Amino acid sequence: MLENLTPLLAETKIEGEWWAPIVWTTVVFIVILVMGRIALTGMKEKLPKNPITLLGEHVYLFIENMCVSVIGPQGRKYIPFVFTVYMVVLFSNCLGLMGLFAPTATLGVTFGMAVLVVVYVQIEGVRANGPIGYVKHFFGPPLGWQLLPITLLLFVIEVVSEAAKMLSLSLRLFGNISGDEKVGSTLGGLIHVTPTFSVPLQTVLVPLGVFVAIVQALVFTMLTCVYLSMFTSHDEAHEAAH
Amino acid sequence: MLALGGIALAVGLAIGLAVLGAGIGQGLAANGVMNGMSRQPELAGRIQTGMIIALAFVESLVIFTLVLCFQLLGKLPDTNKMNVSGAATTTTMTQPLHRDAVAMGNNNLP
Repeated sequence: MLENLTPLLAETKIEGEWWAPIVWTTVVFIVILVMGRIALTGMKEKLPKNPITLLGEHVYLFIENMCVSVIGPQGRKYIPFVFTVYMVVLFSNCLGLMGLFAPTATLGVTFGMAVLVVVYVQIEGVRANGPIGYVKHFFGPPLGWQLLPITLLLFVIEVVSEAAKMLSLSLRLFGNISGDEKVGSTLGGLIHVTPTFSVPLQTVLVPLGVFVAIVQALVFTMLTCVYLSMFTSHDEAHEAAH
Repeated sequence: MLALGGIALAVGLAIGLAVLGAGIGQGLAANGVMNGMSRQPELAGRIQTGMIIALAFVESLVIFTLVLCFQLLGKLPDTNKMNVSGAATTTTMTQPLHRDAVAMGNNNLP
C-alpha cells in the first residue's frame, strides 16, 4: 500500500529547499503578530484612526458574523481559532502572489492545516456534547432496530468522511494555489525572445490569482465553521427540547 | 507502451469530463443567483457571497482532478529524451525497431 502513496508523497517534495515552508510560515506568523501588536496600540481611543486597527476590526467583524450566522450564538467561543486559520491561509496565499514562496503551494503545509482543523473540530465536539454524545453523532439519526445494518453502514461512512474532509480541505487549497503557480510558469515559458528572456504572459493571471487567494481563504474558513456547526449542533436541539 | 498511451488518454478524458460537469454546475448556480438577485435586489450582497462560495465548491472538484492529472503526467516519459525509435528510455531496447530497414538501406547503390 505504501507504494501507492509514493506519487502523492512525491508531490510533497518542495521544489527548492526543504526549509522553505518552515521559514516562510514563520515569516507569515511574525507578520500577523506584528500587525496585531500595531493594531492594539490604536485601541486606546474611542474612535480608532490607526488604519491597521480599523483593518483588524473589519476582519474581526467579518469572522464574528461568519461564526455566529453559521454556528449559532454559541459560536463566539470559536472565533479565535477561526480568525487564526483565516489570517494564516490568507497571508500564505498572498505570499505566492508577491513572487515569494507560497507555503500553501506545498501539500505538506495544507495537509497539516487540514489535519489540525479536523482534530480541533473533533475535540470541540467532545467538549460540547460529551464523549457519549460525540460517538452518538456518528451513528446518525435514531432509527428502529430493523434498520440496524443501515445504522452500522452510516457509522462507517461518517468515519470515512472525516478522513475525506482532511483530504478534500488540503487538496482544494493546495490544488488552487499550486495550480495557479504552475499555469503561470507554463505561460511564462511559452514565448522566448532570447534564451534568457521570455514574454511575461503570466501577468494576465495576477487578477485571477488575487481572486483565488482570497476566495480559497474564505472557503477554508467557511468549511471550518460548517464542520464546527455540524459537531456542536446537538446542544441546540437538546436546549430546544427542554 | 500501451499503459502509457492509456495514461495519456485518461489524463485528457478526466480533465475534459470534469470541466464539463463543472461548467454545467457553475452555470446552474449562476442561473439561480441571477434569478434571486433580480427578484430581490436588496439582498444582492448576501446572494453574491453565497454564489462565490458555491462556485468555489464546484471548482474544487475540478481542482482535485487537476491534481490527479499532474500526478499522472509525471508518469509519462519525456519526449525530448526518447531515442530514435520513439520508445521511452526506460525500456530495455538496445536497437531501434526499424533495425532491419536501416540495414537494408545501408548499400552503395545510387
